[in-house]
Amino acid sequence: MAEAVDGVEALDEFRAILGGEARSVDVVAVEQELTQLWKAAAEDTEEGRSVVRACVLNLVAYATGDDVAQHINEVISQISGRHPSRSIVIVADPQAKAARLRSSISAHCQIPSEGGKQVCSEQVTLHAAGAAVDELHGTVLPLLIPDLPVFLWWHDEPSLGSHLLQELLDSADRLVIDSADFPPQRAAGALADIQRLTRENDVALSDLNWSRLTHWRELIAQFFDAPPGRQYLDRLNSVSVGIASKHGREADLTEGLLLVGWLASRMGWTLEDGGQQPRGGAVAFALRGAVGRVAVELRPGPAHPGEELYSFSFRAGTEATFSISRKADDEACVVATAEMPDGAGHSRVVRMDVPSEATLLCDDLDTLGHDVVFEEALAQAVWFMTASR
Amino acid sequence: MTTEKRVENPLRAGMRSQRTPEPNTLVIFGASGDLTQRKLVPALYDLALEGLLPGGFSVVGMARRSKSHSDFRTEMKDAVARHSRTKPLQPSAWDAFAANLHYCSAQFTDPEGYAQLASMLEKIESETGCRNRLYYLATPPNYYSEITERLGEAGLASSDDCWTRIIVEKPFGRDLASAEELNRTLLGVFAEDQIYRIDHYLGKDTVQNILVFRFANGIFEPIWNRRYIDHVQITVAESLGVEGRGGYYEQAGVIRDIIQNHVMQLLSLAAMEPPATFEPDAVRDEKVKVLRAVRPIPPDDTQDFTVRGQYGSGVISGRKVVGYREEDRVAKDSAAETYLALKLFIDNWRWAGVPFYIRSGKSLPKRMTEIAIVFRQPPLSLFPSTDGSRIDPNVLSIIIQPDEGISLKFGSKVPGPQAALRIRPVEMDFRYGTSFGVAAPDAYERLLLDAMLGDATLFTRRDEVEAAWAFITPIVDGWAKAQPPRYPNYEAGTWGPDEADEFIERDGRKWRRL
Repeated sequence: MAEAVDGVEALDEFRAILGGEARSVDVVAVEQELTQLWKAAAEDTEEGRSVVRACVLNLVAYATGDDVAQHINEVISQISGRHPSRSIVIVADPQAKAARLRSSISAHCQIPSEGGKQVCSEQVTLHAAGAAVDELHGTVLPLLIPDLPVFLWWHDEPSLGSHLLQELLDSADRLVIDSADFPPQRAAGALADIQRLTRENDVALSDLNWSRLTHWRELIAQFFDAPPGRQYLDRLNSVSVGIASKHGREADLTEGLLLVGWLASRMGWTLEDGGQQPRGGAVAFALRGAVGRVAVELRPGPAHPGEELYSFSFRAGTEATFSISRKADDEACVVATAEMPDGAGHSRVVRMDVPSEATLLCDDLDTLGHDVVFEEALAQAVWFMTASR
Repeated sequence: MTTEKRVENPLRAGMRSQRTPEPNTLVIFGASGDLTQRKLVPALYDLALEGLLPGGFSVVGMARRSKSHSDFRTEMKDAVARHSRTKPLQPSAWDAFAANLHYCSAQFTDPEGYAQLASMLEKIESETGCRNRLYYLATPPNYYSEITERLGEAGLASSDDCWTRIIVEKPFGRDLASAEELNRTLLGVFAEDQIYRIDHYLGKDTVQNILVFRFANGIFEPIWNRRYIDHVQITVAESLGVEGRGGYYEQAGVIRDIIQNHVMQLLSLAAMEPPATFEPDAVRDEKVKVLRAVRPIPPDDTQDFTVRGQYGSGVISGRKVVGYREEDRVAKDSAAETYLALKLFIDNWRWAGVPFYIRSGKSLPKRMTEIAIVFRQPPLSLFPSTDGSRIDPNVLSIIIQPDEGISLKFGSKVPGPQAALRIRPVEMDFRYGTSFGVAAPDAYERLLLDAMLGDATLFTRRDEVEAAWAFITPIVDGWAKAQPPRYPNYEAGTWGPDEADEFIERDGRKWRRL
């Protein structure tokens, strides 16, 4: 009888986990508890439930504090349909005096289509405090599923001296950061250091701030895919980028500098005159292109709730202008306009939603190898940041 | 003639899409039709919304009915609101897209209509600065030749320094002679590299994945041959009846509607040799080799290689449905087949002696398209059955729709301490939906974009179409000479006539239970 009661309780407990609740478990028993969870799920055939555990990668996420960890949980839940993974969320409090480590398991399940199986993935959350943070890699590494890629998502600016970061990079394929979260005055130095660290460890690097530019870059490239726009690409002599402030903060130019860094690295532009000091928060510098000088300006603009980059324009002398800007009356769309002589211009309205963090992370998890274009753009952007300070 | 200037764009390095089409104007013949409203214009709107169409892109709808540009835009707006995969309609994006929609009212047979079209194109092109043109034949097929010839006469089939292309919808002919005749007409006006014969099945991601699955993975190709494969089953099952298309179906039957195009394409992708490159002609060269190697079925032998069926009334998913002969515009004594089971052989080194069993039908229990590769049994059975059952063969199933994916069936020991081993089939499943979790774009979006980009890989070449008809036509001829079966011979909601089961069981095999 007692066994039957235990069985019912276990069943209720595992259903609660699949419903999104976390269950505390002994750190050394995490793997065993997960095995029990999926065994119970496979045997639970009540109400036609059919659960499949899926896992295509390991995602190790680092958070400082419970608020950030909660946010990371939400993002992982949103991406679990497209990237079912074993997620290991580290909630670290390295400043705590007492060393402490505790763990819990939870699951992310997608609502199945009619008659389909419910696809679930698993999450291990490790709360570490004090000295336990530095030793955490010894707990994380055995939890990684073998032979699947390992993505290390470091929320907030990584502390390069962190022993844990060094150890985790040894086992990671890709480090994911978001330079939009870095203090603007430190962004250049931090990005340069992170790029060096990942190169030393032969780990690919992603910056969600770069991923925010994907649609912008696509629309910019489209201007020059075909004649008649293509002929102006080598004759561009002016670039202007509008950056909005977000959440009431000062406008952060990092995203715009990454965009200019991309253009410079693709076009072979080099820095000619770096340091014109900001006027009203704007940054201006000059690059040298194949046929002459290219004036670059990054201008802070009005506050925008979702996105920092809001407008972009190119000029080729007085002949042609190419511009993209958010529509004032429909912020989900941008207007892309090419003005060229002889009526060859055109204007389009294209949907460009401000991507959520989950969308950006999803796209980054699609890529396994090094993003050479990003790495070259980043190197240029760091150079411009340093020169224009 | 096609003239493409392709200058590399350095900003494209590392991007997922390598280029956007050049500015162009798409002329849709049959702009009042169902295809335009349900598929073409919604697909174009979705492409525009995603920023995948170039600046300077316009559409001219051409049809017989008289209406203004504004009326056409209103009709298309309703169609897009209903059929676009992106809902709700984005007003500012629609307004920008609609500004480039135009309408030309003309009879397809009237040369004056083509003069009107030419003048409209010139006006649009003077504003957009480009003369690239893509024609889409979305009319009933009896107009294809007429429109092609009129385009040629009006000087609209080529331009000096820009490209001109034409997309031809299925059905492409109704037998080998008519397909050859249509090809001759098209090639009298356009060059082969201007002609894009569309089969929307090829625009499906999962159909393209057949090539990726076979040629991007090292473990399958070595066993993809007669040495390891016992037989192949291709199923294209539809749970719907003819859905108001009775008039068309009376002329076509399942052999022209599904087998000659979709099934022959699936067959060629599943059976082809690896192409030298992933270039359009390299892929199509290999596909056509398969079609040419399919052993012909002489008209007198059709009874041995085919089973025809026609559905009577029945119940599908709890809903009563009428029989085919009770459908609109269907003769009460119709001899059109709504079901076909077919056995064929591919006489080449890879497939010699391996039967391909094909079945397709309407009003079957469920909608399902799959290619199943059924492997040979091990040469010696080490595990005698305790209950008299046979160990199931390994089956690799490529599911094209719905719930797209790939599964592999193999035998596994049932856990337990019994001395006698019990073996049960289990499946390893891959599902697109669970692995990638993203909605695939509509097949027409992909194909329209490819045609604008000049990529013909997913379109059917002249020799492919003719090779497919060369196989199909003698079967149709054989049926014409013989007495048709006593229709209806299967109940709607069942897996076809009993004769189809006997047909495959005669070879010691069974249809897969789907």
